[in-house]
Amino acid sequence: MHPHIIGTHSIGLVLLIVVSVLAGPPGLSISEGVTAPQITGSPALFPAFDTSISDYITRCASSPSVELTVNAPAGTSVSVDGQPPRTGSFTSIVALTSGQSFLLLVNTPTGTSEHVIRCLPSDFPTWSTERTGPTQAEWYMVTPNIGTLPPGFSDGYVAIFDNNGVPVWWLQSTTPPIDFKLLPNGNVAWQHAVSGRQRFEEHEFNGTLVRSLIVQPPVAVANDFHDSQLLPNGNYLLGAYSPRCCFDLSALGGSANATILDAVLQEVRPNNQLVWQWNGADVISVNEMHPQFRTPVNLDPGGADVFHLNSYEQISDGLGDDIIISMRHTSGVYRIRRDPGGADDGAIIWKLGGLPRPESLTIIGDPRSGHFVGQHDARLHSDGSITIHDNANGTNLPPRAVHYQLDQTARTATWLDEITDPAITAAFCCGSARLLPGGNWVMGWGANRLSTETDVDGNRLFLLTFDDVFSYRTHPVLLGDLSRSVLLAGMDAQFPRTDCADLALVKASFGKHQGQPGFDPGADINQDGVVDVKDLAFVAQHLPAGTHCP
Amino acid sequence: VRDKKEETVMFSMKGARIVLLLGIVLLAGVVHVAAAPLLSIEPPSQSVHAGQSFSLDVKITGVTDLFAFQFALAFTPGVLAATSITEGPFLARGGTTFFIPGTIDNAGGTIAATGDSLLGPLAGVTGSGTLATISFQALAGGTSPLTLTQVLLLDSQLGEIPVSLRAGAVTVQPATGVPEPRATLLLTLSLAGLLGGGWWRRQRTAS
Repeated sequence: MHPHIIGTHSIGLVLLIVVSVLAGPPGLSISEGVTAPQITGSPALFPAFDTSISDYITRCASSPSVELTVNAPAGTSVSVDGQPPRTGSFTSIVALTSGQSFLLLVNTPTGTSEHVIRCLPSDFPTWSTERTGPTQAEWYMVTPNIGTLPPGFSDGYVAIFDNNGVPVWWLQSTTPPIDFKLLPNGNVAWQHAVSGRQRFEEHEFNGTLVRSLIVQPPVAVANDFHDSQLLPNGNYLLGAYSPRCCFDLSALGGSANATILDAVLQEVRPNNQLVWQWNGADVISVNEMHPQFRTPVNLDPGGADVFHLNSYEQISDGLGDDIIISMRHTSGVYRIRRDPGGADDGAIIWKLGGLPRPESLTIIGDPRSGHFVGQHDARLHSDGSITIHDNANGTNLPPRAVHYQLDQTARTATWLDEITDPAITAAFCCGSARLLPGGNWVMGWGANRLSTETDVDGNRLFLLTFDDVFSYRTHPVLLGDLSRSVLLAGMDAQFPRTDCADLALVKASFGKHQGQPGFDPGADINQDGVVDVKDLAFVAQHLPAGTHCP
Repeated sequence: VRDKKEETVMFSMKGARIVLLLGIVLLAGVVHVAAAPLLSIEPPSQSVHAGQSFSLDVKITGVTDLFAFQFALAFTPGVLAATSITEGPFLARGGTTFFIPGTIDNAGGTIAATGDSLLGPLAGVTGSGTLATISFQALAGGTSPLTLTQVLLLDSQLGEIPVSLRAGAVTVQPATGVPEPRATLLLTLSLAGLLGGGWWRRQRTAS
C-alpha cells in the first residue's frame, strides 16, 4: 500500500489532501496508545506533514523564516533544526532563505524519522501533483519553461521532482534550459535554448559548472538544443541546425534555390575538439519532408527547416555503434551508420515512418494506418524495440507513446503497444516517451503541461502538471540510480545555511590579517588574507532578513 | 521552442535600452558629477577639560545604498582614553544589524576594526546619519587629532563605495578647579601647630 497524494502548490496557497494509507491520517495510532506528531508550517508545508514523507518545500522567500507548529503527543518528540527534542505543543521559528533547508527529527516508539524542509524560491513556477499508485521512477527531471509565465516567475529552472511531486533539487540557469538529464558520470546536463547563447552545460549537483560545449567549425551556428549525449568513450554527441545552400524545394512548394537548415551531428571531446561530424542533407533528400510540415514558415528560403532534428542517441546493439535520430519534419526515425573513416560512415541503415525510401522498415500491426507524425524522443532499447512519442500532428488522433519491435534483418517494425491519456487530445510539439524496465511509461505530453507515469495499461500513477508552462521533456530516474543524499548535499552546497554562529566566527577574527594571532582562515570568506567588512557583509547578506544575532 | 523573430526583437529592444541608458549616463556626467559621501568626526573640534568624559560621533553624509562599513580611529594616547564604542542609528534604518565595536588600545591610541552590517538580502541605507558614537575620557592637557583610517563602505551589491574623510580634533585643557595649597604654607601651619601645642602643654603643667 502506498500514500495517495493529491495536491496543488501555488503562490501563497497550498491545497493538499493527504489520505495516507501507509501512515494514516493525522492522529492515527502509530503504536499502542501513541499517536504520531502533527506538524504544520507557516508558510505552509508541501505536502502536508506525514511521517512517511521525507521531503517538503515551503515557499518562504517572501518571509525571513518558517514557523512550525508542533503537537508531539506523549511518547513522541520532535527536534526542529538541531534543537533538543520536545514533547507537547510548541512552535519553533527557523530563519530560512531560498534554497536553504532544515531538518526535523521525529521520534516515536517505532523509531526516528528524518524530514527535510526546504525553502522554495518565490519565482519557481507553480504546479499541481497527484499520485494514485506505486511508481517505478523515483525522480522526474524537468525544465518548466515553455509557454508564458506570470510576472515574477522564472523560466530558468531545471528541477528534479520526487514521486510525491516535491522538487527536491533545482538550479536556476541564466537562460531557459532544455533537455535536463542525468549523465552516466553522475552529473547533470542541459542545453541553453536562447538564440545567441546556445550551449551544452554539464554541472555537478552542487551547481559547479563542469564544462560548456558548443558545436565546432565548419558548422557556423550554435548548438541545437533538442538533445545531447555523453558517449561511453567520454566524448559528447551534439547537434546543430546548420544553414546550407542551395536546394530545390519547388516540389515541396518552396523556393527552387533555398538555403536549408541541415541536420548536423558532431562528436566532440570534453575539450570541445571535433572528432566526427554527420550532415543530414548528404544522405537524406529534402523531398522526404512530410506534407504536414510543408508550411511557408518551414519553407522559408532563407533557412528552410526541412528536417528538424529533435532526438539523437548513439546506441550499441551488436550491429554497430550507430546513432538513432528523430526528425520531426520528415516524421521519420533513422538509424545512421557511425563508422569514422569507413566507406559507409553516415549512411542510412534504416528508416522508420515518414515517406518511404529504400531503407524503410515495414510497419506491421500499427492501428494507426498513417503511423506516427511529428514524433519526438525516439529511443532504441536493448531488446531491439523502439519507443516514440507520436505527436500525431494533423491526424485528428491523440498523441501517444508507441512501441515497436524491430527486426532489423527482416526489416520490419511490429507494433507492440501504445498508451494515450484521456486528457491529451493534441500536442503540436515536444514531448517524451520513456518505457521503464518494469513496464511503466513516463510521459512528457509535449505542449500540454502534463507529465505522467502510467502503468502498462496507461492508467495514471503519478501526475505532475505545471500551471502555466510545460517541460520539453520529462526524464525519469529509476529507483537506485540517483540517491536522495546526493540531491540534498547538492542543494545544501548551493544554498549553504548561514547563521549567527558564522557571524560570530567572523567577529572573532575581525580586523586580523593572515599570520596574526587570532586570524581564522575560515572567517576569511573571500580569502584575501584579511577578515574585514567584506567577509562580514557577505555572511550577513546570506542571513534571512530580520535575523537578530547577539 | 522559442520564436526566433521574437527573440531578435527582444534583444534589439534590450540593445536600444542600453543605448538609451548610456545616453542618460553620459548626459548626467555632463550635468552633474555626484560627490562621494563624507565620513567625518562630529563635532570636528571640541575643547574639554582634563578628567572630563565626552563623546563624539562618526557620521556619514550623502551616502547611497550603504550596506556595511568598517573604520579605525587614531588618537593621542595620554591625552585621551577611549572608553566605549556604540552603534549609531543610521544603518539600523535599513533593518537588523550586526555591530562589532572594535578593539580599544589606549596605550597605542587606536580603536581598531569597528564594523557593522545589515543582516539579510536587504537594500542599503541612503542619506546621512551617525554610524557610531565613541566615548572618551580626557586625561591631560594637550590636543589629540582624531583620524579615521582603514575605512571601507560597502553597498548592497558588496561593492566598495568611494568616500571622503574628514578628521577631527580634541583639545584638552588642564584642570582649573580649587588651587592646591603651597608646600611652604603647609610647613608653616605645621610648625605653628607644633609650637602652639608645646605652649598649651606648658601652661597646663604650671597651673
